[in-house]
Amino acid sequence: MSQAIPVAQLKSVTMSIYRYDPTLDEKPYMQDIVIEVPTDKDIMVLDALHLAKDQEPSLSYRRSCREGVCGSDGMNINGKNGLACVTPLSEAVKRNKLTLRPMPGLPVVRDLIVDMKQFYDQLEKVKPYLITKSDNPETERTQSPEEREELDGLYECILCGCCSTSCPSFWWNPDKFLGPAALLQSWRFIADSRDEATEERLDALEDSFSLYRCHGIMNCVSVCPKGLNPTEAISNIRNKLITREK
Amino acid sequence: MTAMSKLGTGTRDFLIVRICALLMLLYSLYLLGYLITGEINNFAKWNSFFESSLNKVLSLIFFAAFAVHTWFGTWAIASDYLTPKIMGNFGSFAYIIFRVLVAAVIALVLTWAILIIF
Ligand code: SF4
Ligand code: SF4
Ligand code: FES
Repeated sequence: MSQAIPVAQLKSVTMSIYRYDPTLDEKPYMQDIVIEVPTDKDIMVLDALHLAKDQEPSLSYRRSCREGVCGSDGMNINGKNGLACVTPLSEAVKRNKLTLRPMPGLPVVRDLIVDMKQFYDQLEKVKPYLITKSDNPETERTQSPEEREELDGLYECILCGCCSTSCPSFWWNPDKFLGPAALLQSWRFIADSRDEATEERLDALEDSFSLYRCHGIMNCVSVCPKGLNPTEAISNIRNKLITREK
Repeated sequence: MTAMSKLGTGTRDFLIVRICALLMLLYSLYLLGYLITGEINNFAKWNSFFESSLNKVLSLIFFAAFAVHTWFGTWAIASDYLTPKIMGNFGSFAYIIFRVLVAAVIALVLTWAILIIF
């Protein structure tokens, strides 16, 4: 005898989504899309977006891993930057409404997709790779477990851009201020015992903008989906800049 | 100072602003101490406080620190907001006007302070 399959209870949620297709729209607008979500389990904001896209196939957003690893679905969720794939709907929805916008401050390519060029340009400036000058050792360059521990809280960054695009200093001077993500990476290599370019790295941050535009507002810390602390990294670099012997 | 001149502009400005803030804080605490302990409780004592050469010099340092702190601090604000990126073509103009105004206010306060103290 077949058992009756219980019909999932559904409730509706109104999504208000930023829409902009530069080839068609004169200016951006917000579109309301009502979706039906199950009441007996939580889904993620990214799942909600898929439901909205079923209704509105032209809706565009980036996503790949759908588990907080690739960093492609950073967006502004009810006013706060985060990754759609790891933000539960129950946390995000306020009064049955979910407002989604692209990450602020960067040019919009289409809908929730932003052009990350400025963000990557700033990352490139901090040379986010190991620089060595001494001869290559016989085996690999080793680190003690303690030295390796120095990189915890730094190497985990997935470059989603949530932090830099929530930072007012980055909004105002995205070409001159490096932004929290790039500065966190700068510290990741300054703090690396194997790196041999600390002085050059610090020299490059001595001007009035690259690092010193950080006013300690800490938006970056409050949005980072990986729980990292760019403000602390920035103050570590600043302490090195102030105390180093020249 | 030789050490200062070797620093990059960012580090130098950062230190200057903090040091000036510290000087202003110390002076304020110094003056506050006199007021709280009742050492200064009428206008005559207030007047004689500023008669002492030590206090004249300290007050002057306070106003100098104020001038420098304000100049650097408002520069940071102006270069965030009064830019062509934020304000369009008007940005550079607004920036210059603002800087001139700040300079004028600082000059006014300094002159006034010197006139009162001496
Ligand atoms: S520090 Fe956090 S918010 Fe910023 S890019 Fe890295 S993972 Fe994203
Ligand atoms: S702490 Fe610094 S980097 Fe982080 S959001 Fe604030 S100004 Fe930006
Ligand atoms: S889809 Fe990869 S981080 Fe969200």
